[in-house]
Amino acid sequence: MSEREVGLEEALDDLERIVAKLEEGKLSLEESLVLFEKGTMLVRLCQGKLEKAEKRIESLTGELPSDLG
Amino acid sequence: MTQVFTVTELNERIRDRLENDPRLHDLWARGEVSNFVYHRSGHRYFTLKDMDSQLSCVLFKNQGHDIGFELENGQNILVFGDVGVYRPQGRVQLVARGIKRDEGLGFRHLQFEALKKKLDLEGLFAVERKRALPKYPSRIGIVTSPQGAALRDVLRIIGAYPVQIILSPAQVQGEGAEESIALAVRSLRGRADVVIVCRGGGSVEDLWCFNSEVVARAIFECDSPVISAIGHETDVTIADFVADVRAPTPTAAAKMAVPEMEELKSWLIQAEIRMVRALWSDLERKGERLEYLSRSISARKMYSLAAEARQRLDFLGERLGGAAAGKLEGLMGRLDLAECRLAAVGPQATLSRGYALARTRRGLLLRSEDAEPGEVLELILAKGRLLCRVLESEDTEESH
Repeated sequence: MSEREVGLEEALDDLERIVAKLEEGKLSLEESLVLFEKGTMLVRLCQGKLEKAEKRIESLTGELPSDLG
Repeated sequence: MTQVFTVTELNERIRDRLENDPRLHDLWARGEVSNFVYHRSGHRYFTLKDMDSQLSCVLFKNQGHDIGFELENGQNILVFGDVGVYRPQGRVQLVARGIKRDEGLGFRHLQFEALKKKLDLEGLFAVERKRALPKYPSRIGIVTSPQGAALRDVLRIIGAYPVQIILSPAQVQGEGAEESIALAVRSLRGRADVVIVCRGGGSVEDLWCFNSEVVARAIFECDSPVISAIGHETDVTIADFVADVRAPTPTAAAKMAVPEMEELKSWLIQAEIRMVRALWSDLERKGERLEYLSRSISARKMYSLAAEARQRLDFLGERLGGAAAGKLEGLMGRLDLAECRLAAVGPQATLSRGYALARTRRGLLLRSEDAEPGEVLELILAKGRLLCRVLESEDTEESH
């Protein structure tokens, strides 16, 4: 799986779907386990993204007041 | 020695000071009428206010004959008079000697209404076209002055939320502001998931550029939802009508644009707990049928997953603490049960139900590609084994 550039929004949406699907309980155990693993990975991914706290500010005119750099 | 005043003495002193100041006499003040009361005594009381401040005013009966019109709340007027102190209440007030309508502002107001009507008829304010804000934006465009407090407010609220912020600088007051704002909005085309157009509080004149047609159209044509936050809560501009969402302040706009970090973090923990719980109840329900699982998930793999999930539950329990931890205890009990059931289902139990394990020299076969056509396999049965040759290989869709 190439998870390099999954955005937070996509990851959270996926996770929401996976949780709902697991809770529905209509899957085979194999499918449940695959989804569970994927979901756990997405939780890690999202937590990682939130922890990283990287905020990127850019200005369309290139000028950015020094206090915002 | 310090002097102690009575309240009356102090108010007199304040009054003397103000009433002897020539700069507070014979002056004109501009503002809007509010709290207008035409008292039985014939005196008119009202409050003169602008966006940020207000001042009590009185027009005494003997001065009031010749103003030529009647005061109304919301009117823009110019008041001529003197500043005085109403001693019984220690209240600074403007004692009017003359009042004129403020035609300049009134004219603007007419312009505002005309433009509002026109754009409304064209459908620029239509509720049906208001777009929902993205739940988790990854790019936020901000149209505002790079120097303004509004920008700082917005950035402070966005805080640590991981998002790309694209500042589209605009001049938000004075000559040329309208075109500057419109251009800044247009420049964000294709670059943002949500756009905040904001400006801090100011005079009606300062905010007027947001009542222009070019700004309204630029917002209307913006390809992502727009949140407007212009001035204070009481200021409503044409831009607010066109925007998809109007926020009372820049701070409120930022809160609408991004989810709350702590909420999001706790949601993630909850999501994990819900998944573990769902998986467990699944295990319980399917416990009796575990013996049929021999194909892609070995009992050993189930064990390691169970162990991992158990650790995960411990960890989550620590992070949650209190009541939620109690709930997890219950889950753990059920996990034990599920594990017991797993233990009862060794490969031998499976084999005795008619299943077989197939292997080559390289190990157990799980997929068709694990063995080549023509290769010899060993089939392990409940009792004994068979050597077989592969005739044909066929792929089936397998999710793992």
